[in-house]
Amino acid sequence: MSVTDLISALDAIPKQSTVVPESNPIFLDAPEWLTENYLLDALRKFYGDQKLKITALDGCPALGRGENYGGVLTRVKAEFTKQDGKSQMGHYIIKTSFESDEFSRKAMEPYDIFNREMSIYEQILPKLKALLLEINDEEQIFAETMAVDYDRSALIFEDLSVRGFIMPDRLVGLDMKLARMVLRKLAKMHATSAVLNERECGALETYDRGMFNRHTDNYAPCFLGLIQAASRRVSQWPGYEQYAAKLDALIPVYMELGKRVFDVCPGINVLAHGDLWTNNVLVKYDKVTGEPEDVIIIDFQYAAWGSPAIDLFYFLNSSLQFDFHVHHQQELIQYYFEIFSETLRKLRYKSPIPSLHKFHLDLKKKSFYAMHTSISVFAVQRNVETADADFNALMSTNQRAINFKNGCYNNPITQKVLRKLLPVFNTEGLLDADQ
Amino acid sequence: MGETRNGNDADNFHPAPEWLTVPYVENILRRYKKDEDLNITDLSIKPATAKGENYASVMTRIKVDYVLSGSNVSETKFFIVKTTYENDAFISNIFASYQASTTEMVMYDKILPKLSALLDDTEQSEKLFANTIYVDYEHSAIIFEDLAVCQYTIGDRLIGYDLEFTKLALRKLAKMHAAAAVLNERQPGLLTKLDHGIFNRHSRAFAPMFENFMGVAANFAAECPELGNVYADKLRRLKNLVMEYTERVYDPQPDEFNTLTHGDLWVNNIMLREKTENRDLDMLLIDFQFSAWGSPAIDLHYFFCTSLQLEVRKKYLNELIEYYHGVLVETLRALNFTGYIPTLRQMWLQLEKGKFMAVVASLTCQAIMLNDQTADADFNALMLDNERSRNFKKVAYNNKKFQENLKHFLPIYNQCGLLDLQEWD
Repeated sequence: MSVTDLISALDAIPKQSTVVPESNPIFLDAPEWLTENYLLDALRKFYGDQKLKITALDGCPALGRGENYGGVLTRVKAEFTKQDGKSQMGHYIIKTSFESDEFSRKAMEPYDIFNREMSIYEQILPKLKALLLEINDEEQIFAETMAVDYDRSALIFEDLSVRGFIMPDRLVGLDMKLARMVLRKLAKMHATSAVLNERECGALETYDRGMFNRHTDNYAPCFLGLIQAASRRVSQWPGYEQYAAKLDALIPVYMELGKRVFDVCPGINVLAHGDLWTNNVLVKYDKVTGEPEDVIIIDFQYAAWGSPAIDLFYFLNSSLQFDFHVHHQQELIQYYFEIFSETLRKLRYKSPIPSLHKFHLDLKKKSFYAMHTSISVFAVQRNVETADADFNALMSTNQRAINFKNGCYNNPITQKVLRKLLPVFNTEGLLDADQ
Repeated sequence: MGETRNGNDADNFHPAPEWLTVPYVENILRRYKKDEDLNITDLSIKPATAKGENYASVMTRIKVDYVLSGSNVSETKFFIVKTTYENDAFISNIFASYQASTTEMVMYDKILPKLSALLDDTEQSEKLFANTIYVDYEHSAIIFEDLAVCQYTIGDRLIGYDLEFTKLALRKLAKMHAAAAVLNERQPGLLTKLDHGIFNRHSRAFAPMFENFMGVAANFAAECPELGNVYADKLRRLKNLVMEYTERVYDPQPDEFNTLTHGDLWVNNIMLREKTENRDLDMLLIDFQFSAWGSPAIDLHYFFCTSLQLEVRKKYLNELIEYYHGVLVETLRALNFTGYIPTLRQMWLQLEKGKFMAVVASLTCQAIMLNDQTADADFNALMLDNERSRNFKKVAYNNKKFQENLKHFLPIYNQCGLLDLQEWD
């Protein structure tokens, strides 16, 4: 689960951008290897032009709501000339892993999130883009990769903020229009990934370390701790004691039920984003009308091969405004599916494309994830009490961690979701230990 | 000795069978009461089926006064005699292809009594069906107790059931389903050989009815502002697929929970007795012409889509499934069932899988059941494709309540992909 923005909201000490000195590194406090020469090499390689020269360079930490928990973001602006002598501006984000505390590092380690994101940006996303171009679809889904450096665990991609992309308000949630825009991109990403996997004989199936996986249970304290916090809160509501008891009874089987969502089953499978929620979506709003014009999907640290349900249930149960969350998921899934199946068809996907009903049935087998997201993930992502909001507080079981998780359930919107959906999930058998 | 009085409410009722005479009834009663010297003192025969109320069989009500051997006291019994539509070859042939009367005879003769016996041994015991008096294979007749005299009536199909009535019906259904699963376990093959439900792999004689209704549904959608051409096209495309798709729901799946379905579970096939000071509301299931081995989804979707008040159907479906499942599992366990018992989630998924049944029931069966224009309401109107029958279907589709149901549920079915082409599994 991405704890994007958790840290950022609190101790964000504003830093000023500094003039880039000619000497290394490109600004004070930047990673020491991040020098002008480093960027020069990267740009030369990207443009395939050894005569490229940098004429101006400016860099600063990229803070604020854009900060991704899983790394450090640096913003770089470079003016350069290529062989043809013409001057160009490039805006980039450099994402690097950071030295976190030992506990957090060890917890994250088996999920391998830094390497995964690099390999996806380097190898996979460009190929997905190429597939879309094959059918003359120029729609941009992700940020363009400029360079990937495994040695330094660094990713350089285009800075989308320059084109007006910002993060939507995570506390409000998306409306139908925005939801459709995201699902449209997601559908194309999923479809191209299914085709790519087919053409490359199963190459994407090695991505098997999503948030629940068969290699590690390291995030269990987070997931189980949240369910326990939910149960404690819900047990205080008259008439809801039965749901608290059911949540408690789920604890012993919870991780197994989560893993089953990520187990690869018969039916159509895709490269799921793995952490698709408002903070991993950038939106470009029209300057005049304020209407959303375009969206870009970012942050592929938890990508995994599996059911589209992984992304659909996660996104629809975490990122929408209340009414749409409760009443309009089916409609949105239908919208997604039209584009998903159409794209598969255009790309001449060889395996059988399921009917919508079959797709619907296959998704419903993974509905545990809808419950998981609505009950636990939602609470964290909408948390307004950010004093103790960090990776440590999510993963630990000490008092601070317990207090933090309890605090997640203070948000009235989160409570509204629980009050509404716990009975619904219950009648569908999704709160039963024996599902 | 005994007199017969024939209540001839001529034109609006179907006539009683000719062979239903005093000697005949006396014979049956002697057998039932195990008294060879019993004598009938009076026999009153009254046709009981009005036009528009029942499309497939003829009911006759008999009241018999008799005296047991060695007694002076006159006793009275009330029976219903159920026979098939004998005089119309067209209808007879269609129903014969479904083995409708044979199925029902076997049910009342051999199966329902066994289901009741199984339940009687448990705490879940309760009466589910009318007692069988006699099954006459030669005349294709079933004689069972007349529940009307115990104040059982048919509910109002035009209004439908509220939550309380719906739950009671589901309780009865769940117990029947559980008992049947257990009976099949103990006598393998007895029930699984019943495979002539309304949709089956032997006869498509009802196809004209279902297909024509899809056409009417498509026309309705085209004219309906809330629906429109997208729906009309999809429904039209479904016309030639509706039989196959529903037959798939009826095919028992090896990895699912299967049982003996009622096969035609709606308001008119449930006798109900209103609550009074002294006793609770009660219901009994009747009419087993289309019972077949298969998924409970068949009965549940059919019942939900034809027999519930709209508000109940809109708001409580999940709770009702949970309730049904609870009774089913409780009864299965009480009967020491050793087969596959689905979890609530698995039952829910099984119902989703069979949900095309809901589409058919909503578009066809419910139209028939909500119809309040009974002038042309008979089997011919359902089955043929002439002007009279087309008119009947159009009139049925004009029903406001029916339209309200469709406008609410068709978009839901559409979102699940139920109106689209399916793949071959």
